[in-house]
Amino acid sequence: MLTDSEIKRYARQTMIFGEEGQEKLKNSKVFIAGAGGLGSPISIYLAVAGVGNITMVDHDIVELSNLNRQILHGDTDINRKKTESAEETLTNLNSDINVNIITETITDENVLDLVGDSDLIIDAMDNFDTRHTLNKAAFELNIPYFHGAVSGFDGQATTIIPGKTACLNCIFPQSPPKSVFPIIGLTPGLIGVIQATEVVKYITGEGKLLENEILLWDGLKSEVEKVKTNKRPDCEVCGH
Amino acid sequence: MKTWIRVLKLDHLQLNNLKILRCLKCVNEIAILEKVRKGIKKNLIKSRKNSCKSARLGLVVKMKINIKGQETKDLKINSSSVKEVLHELEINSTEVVVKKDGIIIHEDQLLTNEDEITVIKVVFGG
Repeated sequence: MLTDSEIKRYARQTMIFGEEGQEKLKNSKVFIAGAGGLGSPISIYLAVAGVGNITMVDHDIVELSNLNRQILHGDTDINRKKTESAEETLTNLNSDINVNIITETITDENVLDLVGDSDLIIDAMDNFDTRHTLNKAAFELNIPYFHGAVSGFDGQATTIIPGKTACLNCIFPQSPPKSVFPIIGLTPGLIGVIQATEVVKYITGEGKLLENEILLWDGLKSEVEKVKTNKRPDCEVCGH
Repeated sequence: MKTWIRVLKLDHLQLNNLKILRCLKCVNEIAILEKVRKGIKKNLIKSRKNSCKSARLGLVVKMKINIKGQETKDLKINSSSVKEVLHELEINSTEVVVKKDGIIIHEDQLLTNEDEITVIKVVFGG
């Protein structure tokens, strides 16, 4: 049930999906892996949209070099834990929601405990090894996994529904080598907002998801391309 | 008339010690013979169906390759699978995905004459 304050706060978006949709957002539990470049726009837009329960995991502290893109954090947050800075920012934006922070590194061993009873997993990581860990967890828990990744002016996003779509391992069976990647904040801004849009659509049941297709963004040409993806029959994660 | 072509790593099965391939284009079974030429062992096959385009490929595969962000090039590739094409182009397969006909294709997928593929760099940051 929405409060009077919530009805007023979300009046412009309940015009889209009604109070029923807003209640679905309020009752949802989302797990955001990472409080950095992608995690910032994802969490900010889900918080202001009224997603009721946001769990955010990150093990890092805020550094000066993060501030060109990680808009959850500011100058005064340098050397603070990203999760603590994120919690403060999100609750300042919307005090009606619950923000649960976990300062941990996501591993194969702890991922299921960290995700807990979340309804879905949002990928805001900066490496594919952890993404594969999250993809396996999503498959095991039978919950959706919203993938996004960025570098420079380029980005990609797709929505993975266990049993229905190709999983991350079907599309990217190998992890690209880790390295320091170039980035300008507007790229994770754009891709993160696409991921957040997918999450809101999934929860409210509005629109068509990026299922079995990956969206590729070329910022230098301002071009968007959607490429179809297929399940891999021999996929180690979902192919059995 | 016999048509001899290079084997394109077709889906194969073993039958009475005779290696049989199934042509992906015409879906007919194709018997295999082997021939050694210039010291290199090459698999040769005989198509049972003359209309099969795969069976008339010749010794190299010609395909259009577009490395995203660059101009499309026509290249003659001595390879048959995505993995081998990337290897021949000296592209690290962990850093890219390959698109054909609007679909991301897997590394072990076979490519044939006149295929057009696009190599797309995977981004991994967050």
